[in-house]
Amino acid sequence: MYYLLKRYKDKLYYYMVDKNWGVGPEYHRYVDSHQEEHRNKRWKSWWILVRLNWHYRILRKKTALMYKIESKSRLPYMHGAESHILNHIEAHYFARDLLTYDVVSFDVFDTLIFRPFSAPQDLFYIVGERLNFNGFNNTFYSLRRNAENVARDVVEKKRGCREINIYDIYEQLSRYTNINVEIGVKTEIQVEEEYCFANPYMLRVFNILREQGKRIIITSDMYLPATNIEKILKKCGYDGYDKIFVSCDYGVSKARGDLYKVILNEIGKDKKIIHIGDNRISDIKKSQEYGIESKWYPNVNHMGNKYRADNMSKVIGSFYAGLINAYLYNGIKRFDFYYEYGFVYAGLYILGMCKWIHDKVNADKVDKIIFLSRDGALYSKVYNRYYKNVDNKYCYWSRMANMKYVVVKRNYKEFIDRFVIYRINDSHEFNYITMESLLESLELRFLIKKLPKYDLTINTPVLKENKEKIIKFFLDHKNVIEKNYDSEKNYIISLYKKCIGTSKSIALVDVGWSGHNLLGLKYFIHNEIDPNIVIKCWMACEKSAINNKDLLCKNLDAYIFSSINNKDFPDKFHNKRNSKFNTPFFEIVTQESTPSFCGYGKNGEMKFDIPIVEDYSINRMMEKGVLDFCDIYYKFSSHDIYLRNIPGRDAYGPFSFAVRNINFIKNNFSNIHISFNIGSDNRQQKVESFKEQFKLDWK
Amino acid sequence: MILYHAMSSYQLLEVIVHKCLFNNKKFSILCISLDVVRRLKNYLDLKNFFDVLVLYDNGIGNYSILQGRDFQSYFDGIFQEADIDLKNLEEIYLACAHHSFGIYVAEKNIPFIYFEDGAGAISRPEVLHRIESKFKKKDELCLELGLYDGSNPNIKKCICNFNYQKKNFTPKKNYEHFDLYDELSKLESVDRDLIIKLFTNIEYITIDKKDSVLILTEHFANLRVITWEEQIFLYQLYVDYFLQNKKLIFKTHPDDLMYYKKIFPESQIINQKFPAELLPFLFKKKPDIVSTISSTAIYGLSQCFDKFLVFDYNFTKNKEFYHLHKYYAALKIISFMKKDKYNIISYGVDSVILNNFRSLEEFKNLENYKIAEKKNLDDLKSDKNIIIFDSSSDDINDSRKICEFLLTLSDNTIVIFLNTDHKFCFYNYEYKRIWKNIIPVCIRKQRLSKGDWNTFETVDEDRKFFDEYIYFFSKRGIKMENHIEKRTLPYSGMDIEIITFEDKDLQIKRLEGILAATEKRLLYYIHKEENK
Repeated sequence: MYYLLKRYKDKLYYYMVDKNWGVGPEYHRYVDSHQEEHRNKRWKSWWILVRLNWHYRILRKKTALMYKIESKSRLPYMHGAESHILNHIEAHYFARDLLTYDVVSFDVFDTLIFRPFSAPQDLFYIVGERLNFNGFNNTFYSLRRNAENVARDVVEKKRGCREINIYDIYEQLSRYTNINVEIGVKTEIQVEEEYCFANPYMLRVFNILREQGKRIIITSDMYLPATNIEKILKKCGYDGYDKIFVSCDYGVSKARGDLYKVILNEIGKDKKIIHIGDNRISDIKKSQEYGIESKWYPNVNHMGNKYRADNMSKVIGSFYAGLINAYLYNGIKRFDFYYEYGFVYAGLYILGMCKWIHDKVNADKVDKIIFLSRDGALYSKVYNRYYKNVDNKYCYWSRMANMKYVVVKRNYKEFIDRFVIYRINDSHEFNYITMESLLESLELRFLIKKLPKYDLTINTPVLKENKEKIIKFFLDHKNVIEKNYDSEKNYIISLYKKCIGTSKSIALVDVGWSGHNLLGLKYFIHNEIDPNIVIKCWMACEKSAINNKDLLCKNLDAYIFSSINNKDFPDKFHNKRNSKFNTPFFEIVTQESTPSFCGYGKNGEMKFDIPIVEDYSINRMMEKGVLDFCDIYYKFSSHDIYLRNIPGRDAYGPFSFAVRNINFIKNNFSNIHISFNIGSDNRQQKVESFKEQFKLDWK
Repeated sequence: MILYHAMSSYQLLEVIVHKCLFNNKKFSILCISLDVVRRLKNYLDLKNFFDVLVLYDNGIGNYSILQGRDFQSYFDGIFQEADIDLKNLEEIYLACAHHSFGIYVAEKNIPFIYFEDGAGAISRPEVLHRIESKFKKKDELCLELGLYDGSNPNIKKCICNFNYQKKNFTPKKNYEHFDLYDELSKLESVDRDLIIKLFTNIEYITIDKKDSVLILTEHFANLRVITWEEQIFLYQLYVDYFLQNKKLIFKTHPDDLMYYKKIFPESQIINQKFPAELLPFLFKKKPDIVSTISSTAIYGLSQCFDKFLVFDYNFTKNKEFYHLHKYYAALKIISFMKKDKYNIISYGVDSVILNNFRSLEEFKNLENYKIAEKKNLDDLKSDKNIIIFDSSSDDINDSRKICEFLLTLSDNTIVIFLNTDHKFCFYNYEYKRIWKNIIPVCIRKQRLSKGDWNTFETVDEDRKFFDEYIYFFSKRGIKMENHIEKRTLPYSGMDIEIITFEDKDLQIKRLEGILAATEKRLLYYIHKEENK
């Protein structure tokens, strides 16, 4: 009967509250900020619910009734760096202002310490896993939350207050499950201790106050008793405070205000006390009602959640968002936008990919990884930081090298298409290159003297009007061109021989997309070096849309998506949205601060494309963001390393969220350069910027 | 009836001592900012020295807030209420004359006696000007009224410490010598104790270890000269390089909130807010060394200690502390070279850092070298020189001049480029052959620990731990050992290793390629500019 009633109640709640995009967020926010009233005068909450339903459902209003709420579709922060939003004063100034008080009181959770989750209760997912409680419709997560509510109701009936401790919760939980109270409590406390970490901003404030000899107290509404909270605080570096006041020990709370009364009685009413916390009601309003001054410290998750990707799985999504929110909003530092871009939108994919590589190395018994330039540079850095379980090298290869040393001989049509036809512009209206520039970029300058025979000159624009002549020119010189590139081949052979060494099973790693570069290099190694080497080709994304043998046999594999895995990504989003730009946007972050490799010269000197030095500082900034994110994610996931198994879908989540509104990219990346073609305009030393491409494609 | 004015604890100490020694019997008024009064244990103890106290809000000191009439009327009101007519006073002694009250008195053309702002300040008016330049209006007014350099016509006498002025300082006729430490020493011990009690309840300080050093800290982060993390790093490097294995005693600046005990757990902290000049009278046994980055308080104390170690304002303002590794590496390599008959010449580098390093026990074998500081390239051309060179110029003409200069050097000359701003002043495309004689030396840093495990890393790890390079130039070539030195910097959390290269191979090929490409692009811009 109980379960039947509960089922109807849940269904009703869902239809009245959660189902509507506007009612749910506003109602939850109202209840969160009026918890005391919600318990004692429930009818008030119901009245609000009726009004909200009238507003959104009957009147079909699109504007909020009480609070500013998120639009239906979340967007990333569109106005620059998120860490600049709050404009926190520097921590030492914050501390200095507190020195005039006799006693400084700190709230604990979301003030002194953080949990790496976007909502505190998401920690229960981890507890459930530790208790090995899975395989049911009633998840540990929901049972644990429900048990807390029931425990509060029970205690209220018994003792007249709703302050409970963790044993009360697990006793309720043990009524419906086989979870032993002691084990449950111990597990949850252990998870709290392992996952909680210090808010660096408040840690600095705390340390300053302590060194200045200020009297510090800790005040918390929590079901964990003081001894446990003390232990957590100590692990986080908080030591040397005077006293700790926890609601469950005193049977009174900050939310009701009576915990402040206890503090005043114990500390002394004549003392000038200030309390710092994140909850506007229990930390700020209620303390003030008792004559205690207060300072509000914004809750990092309330601030950041609205800008976090909403397309990720529950646990990874919450862990990722919690870390990002805590990092960007705690106030200790402000970051550059490009740093944040690397941190927020790319770090997860790169760390996830390196773990994926690590697992595949073991599964496929690979004895060497070759990370290919230039995207491979960042993969290699991250891989070597955390997963260096096999010998690996960073090696030069590129679209240009593939064309010169592989494609030209095997498929001259492709060579002409990629090198020549793709670079032919329609009209003079747009930037175009000259024949001299084209030949120079292909290292074919020696063919200039042959141009007049084809009614071409060095200044002839590479335009549609000259297409036929240009193609004929290249077709007639096929053998010379092949021979020319062939003379450089030995240097590449020597490079890769040295790189491969004695390895018998190697993996080539690149960012994507068609797999041509990887398959080209694989062909090159088999034909020129050793046909018996087992070669795996791994990349972040594959979008050739062909189910070739290599893909099906897993010789070619992609972490995020491919023609046979997560196919909806390329089909519905990556290849469909934002014109042709999603691929270059995705690659922005792995642009190393070096020019692209073009192959070897006649004397064995390495040749490079135009160095886009003006972008280097931005590239470095993004890379630093990625590396810092990886460090943090890796560090905080050390207790449950399964959190490092980031699914490709989750890894792609932040990126697809970032490009949900193209203005995010347009506003911030327009001046970044990216080579859409193979080979740049050497004469003018020019590489296209996104801005120029935007003008062309979205004019 | 006389009036004294003070704006800081140091100035309060100064005027009390002056009053006790020279105006003891006179009826006196003390005009003092509330900010100083708040720092005293019991401000009414001031009555032991002065008959009347006039307190004012030091917010008024920020002249940009209250201007013109409001500013004047604020002090008019205060003195009317206290029934004091400034014009009728026998003398007005103004310490911190460049603040609101000083401006008020100067604008009213009332004669007064001027105390220099700190020991040595009268010959360094540019220091005050630099500090106050953020309050533009006030700064302009002080310059106009001559309140930084004591040139205001209403100044009857200027009280300053002759011992700590700039080298070429000549006192004017109306200058009077006043050394706070000497004058404090002259006081009866009862009077001195009374003064000490006004500022602190510390009776005496004991040091429990030999080889101790007193560090006078400054509030750089508070003044936003550097960030909080940088201030931590600065003191870590400072201790690691210059004060290793010493017992550290920190006397914190009143506005310095840094948690030195946490950073240097073995240290002793004196964080009561009292003027540092009282310290010699509080130590039972004095520390061996007194040190500071750039606090002028050290000048008033240096005579009481055996040794002193001081840098200058550039150490923080120009963030020179980040380059300590380079200075260290350069000197270390020189000391390994054993070039006895060579001269060391510095050009464009911070010679204070260089000399402080050289005075360390570690560089005792460099004792016989005289480090000469030169400012013209032509002065560096003599034979057998080791030139420690730095330049932040990125002007192509400067790099040309430097390359031409390098070509004129004798075979015996060695140039060490610190390249602190990464401007590669010794690279010029026309003279790229010079690079054949360039030997890069790497300063590799190894982290000692993984950083804070319990929170996010807050230091700029890249800036702290990245590999740094210095470049040696010699026509004859230099034979260097592969591995010269490994040194642990425990507080900075790193090992540094000075290493040279042998394996050129792929890395050099790559660098050549990248460099060639970069040059190509630069040439393009140069041609473009030329064709304009």
